Amino acid sequence: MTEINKISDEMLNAFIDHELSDDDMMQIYMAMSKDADLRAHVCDLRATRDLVRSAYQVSPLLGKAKRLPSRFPAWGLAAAIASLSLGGLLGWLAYPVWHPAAPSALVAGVDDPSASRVRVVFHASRNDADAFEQILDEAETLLAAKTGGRTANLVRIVANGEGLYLLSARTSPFKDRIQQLNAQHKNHIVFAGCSQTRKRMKRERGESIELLPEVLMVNSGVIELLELQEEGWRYMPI
Amino acid sequence: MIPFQFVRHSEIRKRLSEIRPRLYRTAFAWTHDRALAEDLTHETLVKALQGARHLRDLKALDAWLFRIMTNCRHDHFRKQASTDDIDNHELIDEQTPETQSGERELVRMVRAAVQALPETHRQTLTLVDLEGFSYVETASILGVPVGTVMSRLSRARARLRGLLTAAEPIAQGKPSNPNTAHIRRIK
Repeated sequence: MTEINKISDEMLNAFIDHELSDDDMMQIYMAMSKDADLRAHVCDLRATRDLVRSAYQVSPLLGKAKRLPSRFPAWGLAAAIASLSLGGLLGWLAYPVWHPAAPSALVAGVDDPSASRVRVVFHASRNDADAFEQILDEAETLLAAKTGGRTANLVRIVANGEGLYLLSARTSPFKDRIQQLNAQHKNHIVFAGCSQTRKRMKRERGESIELLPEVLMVNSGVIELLELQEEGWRYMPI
Repeated sequence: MIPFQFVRHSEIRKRLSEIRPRLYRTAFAWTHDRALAEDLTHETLVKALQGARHLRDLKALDAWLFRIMTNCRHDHFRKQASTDDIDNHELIDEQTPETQSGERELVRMVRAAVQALPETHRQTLTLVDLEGFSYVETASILGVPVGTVMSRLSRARARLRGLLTAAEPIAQGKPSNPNTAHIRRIK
């Protein structure tokens, strides 16, 4: 019996993946030294593994997340740094206790004249009208409170998944309120819908969701959320 | 002083952005469908974002994300199963600009062969070969015993070799012989 017949394929695969103990590795090295067929077989296994690696070395066309065009005036470096440190910190501390039905830890203290501008991104991933109404209430309170009497707070509301229905021209129960908020705080609130979700709903359910005219489309809602958080925005999910 | 929690949360956000291309690459290797791969990546990141505060050990982030994506894929596969048996797919000849060079042709052939593998074998193979997860980590991500990972991987590579050499039967990989030596220890 040749060496190749004594060793299972599972063991040889574990050998090329460096998953064996030193003793087992040594046994296979010894067997390979005596058996050309075994050496060729191990070589084939490695070649197969390497082919798989090389075939996916470059991902095919990963879509680049498209960012929202900014509707806000640029602010200075100092404000950005202040927002990243103080705003981000308060946001993180508020996050675990925040609930749409409870008085917001976020809104409390917004009228403090010494506080920096607050930037909050609300994330609607569920079609939950009650929770969304609370979001709109929170947003309105934030926008009405001008920190230090100078700079208005900024709010973005990003919807994806089932939450997209809340911004749909056909199904949203908040059409008038969204229009009113947008008109009243045009430079300080943005409603954004996820294009990925929209495409998926079209593909999987045959549904064509038309968003409200106030809603901007972003390529990926989740990437928008990640990037805003990276910039120091506070994240509030429902 | 910046609290540990804030530093940690920032780190998670940064890592999620960095890992997105890897998630997409593996999702594409699982599905060979760009739109579906984007959806899976997207769903995984959404769920990770929502559950990030439950992650206790940052070292486990990668495996945790791939576990989420495995579950997303499983959910999607369940929805598809009644109409589309993915394991019955034959090699698909995708005519794309990639076919214009020999190297691209090889890439296309390998991807087609990977696509022809059963779903469970394809997932195991890509987690080990593309992402470099250990057998133990792969078992944890897929929720199966280590022995299952080993047998799936062995059969996946054997079948791939068969598909790529074409002259040999598909299941030409040497089956495990019950009389042969077994692995005693896994690192």
